[in-house]
Amino acid sequence: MSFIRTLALTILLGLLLQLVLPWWGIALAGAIAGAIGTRNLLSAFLAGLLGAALLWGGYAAYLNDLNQGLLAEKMGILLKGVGANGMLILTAIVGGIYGGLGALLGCWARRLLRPGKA
Amino acid sequence: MRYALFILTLILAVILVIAGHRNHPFGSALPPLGKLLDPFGGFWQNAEPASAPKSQVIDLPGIKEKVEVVFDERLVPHIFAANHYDACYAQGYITAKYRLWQMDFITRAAAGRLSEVVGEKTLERDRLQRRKGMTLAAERTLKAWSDNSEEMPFIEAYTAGVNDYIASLKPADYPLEFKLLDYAPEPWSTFKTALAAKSMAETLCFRNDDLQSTNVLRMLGDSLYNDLFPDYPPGQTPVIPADTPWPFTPVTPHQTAPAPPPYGDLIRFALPNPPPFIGSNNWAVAGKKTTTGHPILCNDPHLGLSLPSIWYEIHMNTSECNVYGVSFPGTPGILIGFNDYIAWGETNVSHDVLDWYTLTWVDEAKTEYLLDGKPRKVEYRIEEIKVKGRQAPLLDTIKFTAWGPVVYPDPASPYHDMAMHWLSVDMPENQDFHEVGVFHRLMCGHNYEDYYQALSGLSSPAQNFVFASSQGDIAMTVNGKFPIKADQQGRFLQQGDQSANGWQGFIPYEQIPRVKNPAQGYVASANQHSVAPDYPYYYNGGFDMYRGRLINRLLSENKKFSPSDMMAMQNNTYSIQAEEGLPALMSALDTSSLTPIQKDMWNDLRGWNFYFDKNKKTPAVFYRWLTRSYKDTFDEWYTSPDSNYLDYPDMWRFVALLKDSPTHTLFDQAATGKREQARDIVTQAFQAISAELADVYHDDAFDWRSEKAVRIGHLAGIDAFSQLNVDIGGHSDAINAVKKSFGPSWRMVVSLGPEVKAWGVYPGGQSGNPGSPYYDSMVGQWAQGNYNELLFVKSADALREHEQFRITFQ
Repeated sequence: MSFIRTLALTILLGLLLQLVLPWWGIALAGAIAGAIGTRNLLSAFLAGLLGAALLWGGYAAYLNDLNQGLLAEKMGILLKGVGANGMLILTAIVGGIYGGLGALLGCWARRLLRPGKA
Repeated sequence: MRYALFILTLILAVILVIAGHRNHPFGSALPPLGKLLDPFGGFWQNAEPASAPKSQVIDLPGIKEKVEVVFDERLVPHIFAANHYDACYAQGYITAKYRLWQMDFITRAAAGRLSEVVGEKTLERDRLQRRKGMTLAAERTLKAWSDNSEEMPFIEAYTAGVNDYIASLKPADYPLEFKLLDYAPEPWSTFKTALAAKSMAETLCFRNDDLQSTNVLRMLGDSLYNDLFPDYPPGQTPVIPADTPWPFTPVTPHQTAPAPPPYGDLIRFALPNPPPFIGSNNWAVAGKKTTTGHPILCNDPHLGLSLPSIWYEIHMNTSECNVYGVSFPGTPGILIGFNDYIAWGETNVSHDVLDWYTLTWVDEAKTEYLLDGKPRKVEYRIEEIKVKGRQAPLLDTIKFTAWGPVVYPDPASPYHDMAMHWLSVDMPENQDFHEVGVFHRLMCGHNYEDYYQALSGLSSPAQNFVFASSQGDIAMTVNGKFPIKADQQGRFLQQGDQSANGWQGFIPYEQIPRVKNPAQGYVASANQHSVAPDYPYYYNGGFDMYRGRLINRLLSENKKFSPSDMMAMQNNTYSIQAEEGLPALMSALDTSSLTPIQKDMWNDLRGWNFYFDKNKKTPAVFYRWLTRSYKDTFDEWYTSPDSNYLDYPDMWRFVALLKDSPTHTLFDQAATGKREQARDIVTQAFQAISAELADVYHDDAFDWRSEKAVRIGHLAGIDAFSQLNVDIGGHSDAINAVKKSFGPSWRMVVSLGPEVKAWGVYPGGQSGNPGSPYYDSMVGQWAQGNYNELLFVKSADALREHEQFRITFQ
């Protein structure tokens, strides 16, 4: 359950933090979720990665749908021809990496600071 | 150990965050990926919903009364304001909302400030802008506007509107290009509006070839030079009809033609020039020659085809006037348009208003130069150029003489010590109004008298202003400040040690070329010569040979023209260059031993009607053949190591040589032992192009459209945001003057009378955002030659069927 909890926390905190912080708010959201969620490093990383990827990819997909794919198509050409869908996948991956790294570091920091409870 | 690994991971994370935040992180070609892809703040935020936005009410403390802006189906704003001040305020806000990055980019490019956001790549370009005096010109213009000019309140209102919009932006809302180049919008200013005006002047009247002409004069000698570069081409139909009288006593220039200074060698120096004949068509037909019984006015200015488009379509309705047309982002008002009473439009005059002078230095440090025998000190202006990635800005010291800046700084060149005098840098005269005021007066004009008064405020860039009124008048004015010159003055490099070599004042406003209601029943201009040779003032410049003649030919037909005839005319691809050039080429061709493919080409060319239609092959063959023959004839130019520093004869002159002097020595090629004539050159060129085209000629894919590959390029050169290979025909010397990246940037037809009706289209769209469906929504329509009926209404209620949404400012 703590995997799901960490994942949900990443999404929820990400949503809140990104309203006030620049883009790296997603890494911070992962870090906080990792620090108060699962105690397993791998599970924290994966939960942060998946949560952030869902948040970035999902929101981008929503905006893309309203835009009928117009801009993603052009940005896909600009970024080495990855295509419109490629832009969505790239967005999810990049968001996921920052969220996942954040969660890993958050979880890890807590384990280092409070080793007794590991 | 556990800590070390953690810290390592933390460092990796920090590096990744920095990489995701910076443009070109660690020297790579990557954009700031984290920042750019973030759907909450990055490019996804510029992916505009395809559905119509919701109406908004916005509080702007700066406006005086409530303003309603109704957006129609094409996103054209219809501004309903109580007064002109508020209308300009709203125009600033709305234009920034749709075109902010374009406004920033144009003014940065003009001021030489691109390197601030681009880096080293644009540094030399920026330096050159400063050295040409662009920032000084804008400072002087702003000074003139600020000294009691009537347009200043409108410029200030517009500026406040732009700045209110910028202040409302969060980083997530920045236009896409700011995010890609990773910088933030800075506040607008009245100075930036002055820069926008100077950028237009640079495009339209910077072109000069004094040095190139001087070189060719040296190369050819007087007699051959005058033969190849005559003052006035035979057969031209000038902007002002040839039988127009000049009922005035001209101001006589006090001096005759100055000889070019004694330079024995070529001048290996040339500034990047705007393209030749950057131009346009406009005409007005009187009611006696129209199906409506009232005047019809047409204008299609040809400029660089770009996205975002150069024009922003707008309708402004105030208690003072109801006016519709196109505006230039960065400038308040409407530049080409119409109201309930009059319509107006412009083409470029292209007189030479930029002259070069040699300098005679007094001292080795070049701090003083001789003028009329007395030493004069240079003045210094220090330009500070910020460069992205550099700690300290570059400081460039520019020397200014009485003539103007010493542009070229490289002491390694023996020819760098020359000063440039360009009309657009001169301190404007003290007047009640200037360029922005000219258009505000036209916007609210009622009749010819208002038009006459309005035009008196314009100094540069000079334009052929066409005019028509619902009262039934038509008129044309070759309008601007024109230096009084002695015969031939300003064609070549001049000696800067005598003040007598300067301009001898300006032609008085009453004496500039103009015509009102000529007997022929129409007026027309297409960048050709302004007047017949009997006009009592000398001028030189670069003039189109073909479009004006065709327009005159078509309009002089004995028929009545309808608005749709006028639209067809604006899209006409017929070429007099082909009509005259092809027979000249064909009669010079040796047809005794044509190969099968050459026979096919020959037969196709024989059947050609001289229309540059997109789906024909013949225009491509003709144009290749003509240009190849031209280049082989003027091989002395093209094979010269100094080919970049030479002036080239006009194409019409080449065609005349083919026809009239086929044995001219110019046709002889230096590299061969043989003595060539026109016949040899033309035949050899035909063989060469038929070899080039042998493999593709019978392909369906090969046609004029594919040959020309018209490109409407993004302003920063981003292909993904450009329209490539546009499906359109036309030719630079056809009325539909579509070139590879230049062409009709706005086509407008206005039918005057008790009820004014108008049609228009431009190759772009109302939004500057590549993520908007309105970014390039009119390109297809423009290429097809279709028009929009312009919604010229008197009240917001009349737009009910067309309203998408509205913004209320209060």
